Amino acid sequence: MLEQKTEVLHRNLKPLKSNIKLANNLKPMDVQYSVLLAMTVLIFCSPVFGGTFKIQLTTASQYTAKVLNIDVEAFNKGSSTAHHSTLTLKVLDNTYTHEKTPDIVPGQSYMFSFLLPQEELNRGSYPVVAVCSFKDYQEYPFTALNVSTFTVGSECNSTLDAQLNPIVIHKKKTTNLRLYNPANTPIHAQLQLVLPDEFSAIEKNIAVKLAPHSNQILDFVVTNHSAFGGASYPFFALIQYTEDGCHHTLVKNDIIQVKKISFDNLFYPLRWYFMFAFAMLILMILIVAAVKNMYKKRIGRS
Amino acid sequence: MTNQKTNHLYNALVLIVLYGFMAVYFDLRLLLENTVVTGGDTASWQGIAQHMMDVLLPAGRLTGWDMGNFAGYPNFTFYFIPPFLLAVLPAYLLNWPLTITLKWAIMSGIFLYPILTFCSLRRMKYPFPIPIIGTAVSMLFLFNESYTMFGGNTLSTFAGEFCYMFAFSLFIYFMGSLYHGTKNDTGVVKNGLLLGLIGLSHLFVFIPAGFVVMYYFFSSPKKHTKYCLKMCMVAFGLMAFWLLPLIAYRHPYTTPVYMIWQQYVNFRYIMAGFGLILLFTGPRIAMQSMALPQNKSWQRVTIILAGTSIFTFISLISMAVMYGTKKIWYTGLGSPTLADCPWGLSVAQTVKMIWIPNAIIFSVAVMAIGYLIKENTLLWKRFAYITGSILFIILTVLAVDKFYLLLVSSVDNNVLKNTLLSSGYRYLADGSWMIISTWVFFISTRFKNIGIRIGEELQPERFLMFIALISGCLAAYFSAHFLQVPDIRFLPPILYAFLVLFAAETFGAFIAAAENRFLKKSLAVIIPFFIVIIIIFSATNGDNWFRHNNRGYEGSPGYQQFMNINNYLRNSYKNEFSDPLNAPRVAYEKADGYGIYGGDRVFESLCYFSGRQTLEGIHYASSVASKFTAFLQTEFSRDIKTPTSAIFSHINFNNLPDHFDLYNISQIILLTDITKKAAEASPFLTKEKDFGKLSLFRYINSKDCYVEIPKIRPVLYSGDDWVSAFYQKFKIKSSDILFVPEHFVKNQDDRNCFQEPTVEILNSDIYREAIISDLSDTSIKTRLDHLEIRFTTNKIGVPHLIKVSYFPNWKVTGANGIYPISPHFMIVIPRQREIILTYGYTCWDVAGILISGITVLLCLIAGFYGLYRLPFISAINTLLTPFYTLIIKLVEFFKKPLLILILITAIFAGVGGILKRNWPVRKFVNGNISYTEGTHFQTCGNDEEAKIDYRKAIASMLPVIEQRHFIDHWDVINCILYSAMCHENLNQLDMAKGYYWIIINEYPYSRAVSEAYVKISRIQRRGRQEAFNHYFENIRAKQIDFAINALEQAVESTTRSMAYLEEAISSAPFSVWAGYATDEIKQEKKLINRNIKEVDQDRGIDPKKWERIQLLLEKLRG
Repeated sequence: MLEQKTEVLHRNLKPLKSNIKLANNLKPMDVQYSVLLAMTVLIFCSPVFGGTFKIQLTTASQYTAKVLNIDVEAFNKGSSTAHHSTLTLKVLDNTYTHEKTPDIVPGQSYMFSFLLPQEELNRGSYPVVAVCSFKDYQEYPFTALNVSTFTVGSECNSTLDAQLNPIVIHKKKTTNLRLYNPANTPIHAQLQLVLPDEFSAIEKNIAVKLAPHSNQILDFVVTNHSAFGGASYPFFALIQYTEDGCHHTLVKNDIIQVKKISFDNLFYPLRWYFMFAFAMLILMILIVAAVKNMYKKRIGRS
Repeated sequence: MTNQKTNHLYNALVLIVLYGFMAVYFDLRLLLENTVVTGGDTASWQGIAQHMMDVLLPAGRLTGWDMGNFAGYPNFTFYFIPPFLLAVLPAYLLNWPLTITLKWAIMSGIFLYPILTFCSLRRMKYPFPIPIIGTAVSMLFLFNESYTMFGGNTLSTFAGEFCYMFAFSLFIYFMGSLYHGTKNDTGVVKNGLLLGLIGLSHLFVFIPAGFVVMYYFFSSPKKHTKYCLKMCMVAFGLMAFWLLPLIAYRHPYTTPVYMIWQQYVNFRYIMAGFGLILLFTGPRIAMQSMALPQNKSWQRVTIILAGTSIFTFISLISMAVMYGTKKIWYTGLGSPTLADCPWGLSVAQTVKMIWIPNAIIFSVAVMAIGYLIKENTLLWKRFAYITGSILFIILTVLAVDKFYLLLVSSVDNNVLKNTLLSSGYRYLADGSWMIISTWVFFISTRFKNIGIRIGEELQPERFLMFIALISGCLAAYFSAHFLQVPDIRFLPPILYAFLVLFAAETFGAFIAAAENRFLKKSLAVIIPFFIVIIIIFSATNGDNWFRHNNRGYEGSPGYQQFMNINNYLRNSYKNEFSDPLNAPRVAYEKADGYGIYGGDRVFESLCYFSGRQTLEGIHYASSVASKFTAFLQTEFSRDIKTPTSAIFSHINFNNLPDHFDLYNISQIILLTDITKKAAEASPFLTKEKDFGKLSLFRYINSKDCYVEIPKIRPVLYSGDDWVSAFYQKFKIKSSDILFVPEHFVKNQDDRNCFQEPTVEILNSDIYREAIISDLSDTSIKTRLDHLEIRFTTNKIGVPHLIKVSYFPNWKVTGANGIYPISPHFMIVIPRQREIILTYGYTCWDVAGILISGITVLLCLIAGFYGLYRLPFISAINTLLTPFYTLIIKLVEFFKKPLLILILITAIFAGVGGILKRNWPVRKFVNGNISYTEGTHFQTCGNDEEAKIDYRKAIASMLPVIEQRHFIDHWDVINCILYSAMCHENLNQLDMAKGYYWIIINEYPYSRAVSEAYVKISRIQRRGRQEAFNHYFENIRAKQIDFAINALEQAVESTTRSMAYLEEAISSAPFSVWAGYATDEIKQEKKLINRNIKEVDQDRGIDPKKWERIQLLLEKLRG
């Protein structure tokens, strides 16, 4: 049984409440200061902390009497609630989505259970791809991913070996999968790259022919669409082939580490708003000063 | 609400806002994640802190032995304790996760910085709103991203300089506290403790703190003398437990890290630095001079200021014209030349001729004007006003220009950005500001009057303190060469002082003088807000680094593989040793490419992650073994990654059995293809397992023992500087003959166990005959802990080598003594079956602990009870009062001579440092520039000019080559190689070969040895083809004897050349030049075959002579 983690960091934005109350304690003559204070507080304190997502998926599957029983536990190990969690299973070219879409609070888990009738299957192992999609409170989507296998009949030994490398990505990255066939017979395999929804690859499914005792290196170009800088995601390579009436599934996994984008901090994207607020503050001070000056002059005249 | 309360409210509010900003900018949640912090040097701090918590504190120690790296080294004896205690104590006492407390300790300096700056400025009695404005402005220093290693800013802290940051924040507060204390004669104990804490936290911050103390000590009032002496006594008392052993054992048990940033030592940078000092201090000096027009000292300073300013800015403008603005700041091998002048070479040459006389004439003229008008108060004030105003305007225009560039470069739209970056808009922005400021300063009389009024109220004391700090740090910066310390550590205090001088003493003084309360309060909000905006626009890396570090190793993409290899190593010897610490050491390749596991230094923490000992660690300077292990690591590393550019080894797997036996290394982690290839080709290594890109190899002949009997009886070494001598031997000779410094072995019985003393360490083959016999039934059982080594042996009276680094704190029972032995290990001669080595205390430790203990006790009594309320203290005090008085009188008497001595020393050390620093680097850079110019001329066909440049290059580099035996620096090799190349180009081939032979004979281990062979081979081939041509010509002319002579010459050249190419491959088979040699051999073979084919045609030559030719051809074929 495989156990995978998806960890995504994200921050929330929401205004800090009622700092303007500070002004209530000031005397009427200090109104100008209180306005200044209130504005400063509002401008400075608008962003506050967000939370962290860390969803761990654990899959358990069993095939008996043409029925595939799959339990997927989604455990929220982060500090933010995963809203509208939807679990989708991809088994044998079919996709199944669980009817429940719970909110999973930090420290809690939810068990998604599936009973899937299947046709007669050959002996061997088959893949189960579990994708948990969820959102933060601002409806920003994230996914957690897990790939495991279930066995039909007795297991058969696979000779094929593969090596996947971790990826450090910003927008696009070429990675490769190294396949090695140590056997004396050729292998015709089907390769599938399983990526979280935040990523894509141009060729996710490839048919491979491996000569006896040969190596083959397959290149993939992975594109990052919406993954957050600094976050890590698991990804998988599934290699399936049939030999001597037995279906083989080889699962290799590694991590996609999303490079922290240089300007991906909380303040930088809002820099021009801050600049505008600064200009407004200066303008307001000038207005207050001018009004005050006028008021003084009037008093002087009277 | 009273005005003061409102001020407090504003101060508090802005501070909260600044902290709020920091709390969001640095995502605090990550500080609560239980992950092992990583990033640069930071990646190694967890292991160090864990050692303090698991080994040192339970043993009641703050310093002690760490077996994890460098074959053991004294942890914290030469490094800084309090910042680590900050992490370890809460974890130790409260059982909090050390991973989390360490993260907070690392951030402590950054978080303390704003509040301590504010408190410091308040302590210095700056009126509202200067403290809060000064705090905000100084945040620019904290968040500046112009450097990543100097210390004192966020990036340096994340790169590993967290002790510096912590000490720096304390130092800032110390300046304010000292000012307050000396003014009111209070807080001497507190300031002493603070000074001591700074010293314990980072010595390079303690030195600037010392400059501030010296300023107060020498600045007149008698009470300051007494105050400073008392304070220093407390500080010394607190530091004594750490300082005394540090001083006692610094030499030879540490490895100085000579890191001098060469690029800042050239006329352009010195002028620019000097210009910055003038810009930041000039306006303030001018204000004081206006306020005190009759004060001779301020007059002199102002006149010098005006003159030097003119000289500096004319120089900078001239250099910008000569070299162009693009390349003016290039350094080293890319330094600009006159050819880079955008207006052409002739303009550059003209400017070069006239700029120094011009600068001198103008500056002298300005100084003369100042001197002539100094008696006329009105004119003098105008002079000072103009000087200060111009400097202030230049400073603000530069600031506006920088801010403009900052804003524009962050525009997302490229078309708009490029338009705004064009010089027209930029100059428009700068020009507008210049017009406004010129109007304010020179047309508005109101502003001028304010300036004079402020000047009258300003106190010079605080200003002079910052000047003393800047001057001291500059002297220390240039003297770093003699101190053998990184020079850049002294720059951050100067930058900080600049900002405070501007914010508090110059600009802030105007704000504080404003009578309009509304204006003051508005600015107290506007300026911090403005600073935050600058930080938002400019500090774009700090938060990334913070996140990367605090997500930890666990957040790295290769973490799983990293942990797999660590877990594997932990269990590799579980059947043989109960504790992985006792298993043989694991070596790792030093290379770029460990980023996916958390950073380049991840395997330094092998002991933390796997429990196994390894070689290099983070505390390079703290160990006697650093250079040895660095050299050893280069034998199996593709990249050379060391703090100093010494001459290390090429990839040399042939040496590994010898060195692996010596260091008890049984496994090696390799990353790069070239070293894996070398390991696979080695008969001594076998691949154990792959972990992703990492491969683990096993040394098949490993003895797996930390204590053994050397095969050859060790030799006593009677020469000087045993560490350097042993290092020289380690690099060149095999390690079967070991040497023991003679002066350590006092016991006659023990002396008898060694061979006779010698000073000749490199020619040691004669000692190989004294074999220690009868070792067949040897039985040694060893048990290592961090603070204890215990072994039993059946070979009493025979020397036992302990493969752990020597340090004087090791004590032994069961033998007469512990002696150092080459390379840097320990040897004992057992006098009983069981031997126990314990890491104990030396006399320096004991003396230091006693002094510190008494100091802390007295400070506690003084703090809680009152020192003089204790009758015996009071009595002692009364008894010693005449003695104190005498001391004070003596100090007062010697104060001036001492000050003069210090100033002279500082000047000489500074100037000497400028002239001496990085000598081989500078010589090589100069030689390289001449060589490059020479090749340029040669390409253009100007051979005469080229020859002049080549000779110039040779002359420049020759002193380094002559002094090479005293310099361990890679630029020695560069100088030899480039001199040889110059000689080649001058067609002085024998001289060139002579230089290449120096490398081969004297640096056979270096990465240049293959290159030297290839170059000699190429020289050997020169004229070879001509010789073949002569052969054919003479054959055609039927002059067979001449032809045979020519052929002999050609064959000789070819065979020698091929032999050198083969030597190039065999001497360093995995070097780049070995690859070149392989290619050249292939080409040579083709060429030889062609020539052989042509020669091997019977042209009716006399059979005897033909036989001779056939013999030569046979030689050629061979």
